[in-house]
Amino acid sequence: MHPHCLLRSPDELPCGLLAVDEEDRIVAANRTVEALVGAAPLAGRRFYECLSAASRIFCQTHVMPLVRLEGAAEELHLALRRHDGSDVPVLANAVHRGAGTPPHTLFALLPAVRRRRFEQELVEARRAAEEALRSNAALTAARDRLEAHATELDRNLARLAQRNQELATITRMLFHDLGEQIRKIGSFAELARTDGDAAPAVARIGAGAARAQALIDTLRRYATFADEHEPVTLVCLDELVADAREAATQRRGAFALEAGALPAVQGRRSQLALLFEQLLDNAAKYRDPAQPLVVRLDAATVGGNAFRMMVDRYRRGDFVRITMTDNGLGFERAARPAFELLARKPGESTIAHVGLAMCKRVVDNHGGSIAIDSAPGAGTTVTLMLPLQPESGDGRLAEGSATR
Amino acid sequence: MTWMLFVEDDPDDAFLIGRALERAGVTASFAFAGSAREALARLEGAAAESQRLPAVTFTDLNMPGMSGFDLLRRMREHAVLRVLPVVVLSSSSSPRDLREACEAGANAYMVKPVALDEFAAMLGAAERFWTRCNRTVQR
Repeated sequence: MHPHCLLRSPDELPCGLLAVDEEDRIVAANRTVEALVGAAPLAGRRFYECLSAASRIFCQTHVMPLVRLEGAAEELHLALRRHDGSDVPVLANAVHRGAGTPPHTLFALLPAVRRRRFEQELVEARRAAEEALRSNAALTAARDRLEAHATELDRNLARLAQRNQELATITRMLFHDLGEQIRKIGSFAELARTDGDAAPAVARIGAGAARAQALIDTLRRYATFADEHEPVTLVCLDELVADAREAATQRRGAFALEAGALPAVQGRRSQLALLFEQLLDNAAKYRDPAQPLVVRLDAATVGGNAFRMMVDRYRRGDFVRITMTDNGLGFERAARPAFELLARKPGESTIAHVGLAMCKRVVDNHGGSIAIDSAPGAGTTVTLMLPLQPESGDGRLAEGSATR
Repeated sequence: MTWMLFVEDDPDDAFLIGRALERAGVTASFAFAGSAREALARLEGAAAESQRLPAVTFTDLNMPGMSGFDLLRRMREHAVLRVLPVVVLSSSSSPRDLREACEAGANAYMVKPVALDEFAAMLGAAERFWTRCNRTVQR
């Protein structure tokens, strides 16, 4: 058999063939089409009766004019209306033939039931993917908001804890230390009234009143030294340390300072200046007379938890860790913590006591921490942790412009 | 000879205590230690050399270096000093300080009063009570 003979039987082809004349009437249809539509014979019926409503409009307005004009149309998505009223999706190619035969349009129809299902599945899958993306974006946004709220909460908790501590310190100074001065003034006043010689008691009343005044001055200095509105700038710690060393040298005499390179941090310049002035002044003040004072400053960038109060949360933040070690006298751990504001004892300077309490406030204001380790005869080591990036969002330590 | 030890770092308070004892007519001799560390060294030295120990020790609480609490705890751990009566004499009326002092082994807690006569009466009463107790124990 000649290979072409294999194609001579249109009824056996696995695609539908349909010829439609110029009146849109079916002139011939193979069995494949008749099987698809579920009706036979199709010849003589109106072509449009075999189409779904949508395909009918599509063919009338687009397909037939196009085929007759252009001679062919490809990959047409049509739906045949079956005898039972259901639709069968088909993919159609059409050609217009006018030469040699009565003009007609020949359709080749391929059932596309599975393809349509695949397409629908694809559309569904795409819709589901888009929905998932939207949900995921919403989840990511919610997580970001949650994280921002947690950071804000932690910052507020830290600020409240700091305020509470400051208030407790001020209250203790008022009730205990100032109260003690007033008690003594009262006792000496009674002594002055009842003793024959009032002069010694009166002198002590004067001294007590002066101490009470000094306490109030201390409190005022502690309560007001930090300007909350000072802008945050990029502060070069090298320069602050150099200035602080000069001030301490002028006040307490020369000493050796071994300092590696210190980084620049975002912070409030005047507060950070005060911090290093106090620390170097303390080191110079409590030097060991038996040996020359050597102060060593080392800095390293380390990772730490940006959360300060919420112990169950962690977000890595970059900190600069500065350790200041001296070979001075050192001190014994006092009954009160080193960073508490201490009352002035007679004959003592208030500066060291107020100084360490203020150092802690400065570090707290910057979202960092300070620790002190010392023992008599073993020198003192102060460890500072200052965040490289400022806190932001509440104006407390907002982004600032670099000025130095 | 009966004597009392006062641990007081504040010269003003030491002066007031002296005057209050005068007013109370206390006949026992008394000595001052300017810090808890000095007081502990003195007491441990007296115990080691079997010298006469104070009939009663009065101590302040808030002192630089070793505090009155620390002194109390060290005394209560000492083989000899653990039985000595110790009266806390503080300007603090904080319940927390009172509780910590009692836990550290204080026998009594006195808040320093403003009125000198009141101070004299309190010190006189404490001295008479603990001196009598001490004599009873020694008999």
